[in-house]
Amino acid sequence: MKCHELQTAIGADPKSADPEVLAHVQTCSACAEYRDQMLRMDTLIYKALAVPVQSETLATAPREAPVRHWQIAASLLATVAIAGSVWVASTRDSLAEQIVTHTEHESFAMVRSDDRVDAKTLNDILADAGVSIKAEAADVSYASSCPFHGHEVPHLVVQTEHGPVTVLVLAHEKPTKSMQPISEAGYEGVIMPAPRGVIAVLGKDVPVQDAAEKMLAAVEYR
Amino acid sequence: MNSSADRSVQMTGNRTQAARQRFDTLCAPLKADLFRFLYWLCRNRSLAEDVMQETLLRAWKSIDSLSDEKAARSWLLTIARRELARTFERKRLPTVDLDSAAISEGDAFAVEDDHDVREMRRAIMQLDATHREPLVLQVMLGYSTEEIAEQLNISLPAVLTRLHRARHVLRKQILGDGAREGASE
Repeated sequence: MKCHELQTAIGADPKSADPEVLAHVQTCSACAEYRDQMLRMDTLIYKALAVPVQSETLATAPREAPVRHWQIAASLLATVAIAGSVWVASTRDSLAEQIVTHTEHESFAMVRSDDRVDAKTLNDILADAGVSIKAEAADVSYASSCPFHGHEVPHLVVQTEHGPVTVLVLAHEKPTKSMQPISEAGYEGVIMPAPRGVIAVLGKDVPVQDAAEKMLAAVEYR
Repeated sequence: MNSSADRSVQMTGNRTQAARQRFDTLCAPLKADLFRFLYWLCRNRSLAEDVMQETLLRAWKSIDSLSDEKAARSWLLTIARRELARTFERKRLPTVDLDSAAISEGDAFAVEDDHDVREMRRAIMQLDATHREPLVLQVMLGYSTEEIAEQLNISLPAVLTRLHRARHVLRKQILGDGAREGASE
């Protein structure tokens, strides 16, 4: 095992008991020091993560209000009303709203940046969703697997010449018949039908059409 | 436990006292872990408390489905992840300003924490969720990398990469430019 391989292994698990790791640190003082440093950092990470928990929080128990007959009747009426309104409302609008909400939640990532996600990390995230991307097809500055409609979906920020755009690869969504525009909460974007599901691209004061078409051409489905 | 029992009086249905006792025995020792797990996923104390309540309610409703009691923690954390995802999907939650969140949340814990811990907390808060979650599972909850892969339903190499990157980022944040570039990306 070479030093850089060991340091990658230690970075993933400083307490690793892998015989190869243990043998290496016996003979390499630099790597032994690196491991000690990572172990000390883990102690600090643990202290930082172990935020105090208030006693009221620990006393939390599931509470469910007793169900009464009038509540059942009210619930039925509400169900009829909601079903009616849902029938009237467009499901695509609902999807657009959820996409915007999700994007807002990670809006900190949608900034101009020279950072680039390394190919392995990007591929791992895309592979979790059963997709891949053509090499060097996009300048991806942020990549994350995010929960959306019960699935882990790739959430990317792509740097374009006009600015950053957010891309959600939603392979599990019902495909649209045509491109659907999004204009909400200051975001402009599109939902594009894809070979599987849809791809959503959103930006703020950034033209997204070109970026959306490039992403559609770049993403490959397995 | 007593106060927990006192606040549980509104649980309904045909559950027996034995089921209630089983639920308390399994879940009460896990509440601190559950809260911290949720806190580090959403980085907001009050939201974590709300989702914890929803998680416990859903866990109570499905306690009969838990056949392997040794898997209680994993089962509870899975429910918590789903509840948090549901919350984000159905609510338009305000955007978190990471700097002010780190400061305000940090202030709440400042009395008993030293400077290094606060700085580390701020750095962890700025990690993206992909890297933060496996780190929480490993360092705070003691999960092995294989268990993390199973919990997050991702490959083992993906877990190793995320953990390595998380520590690499934290090391650079804490040590600044003085961090030796020994660890490869």
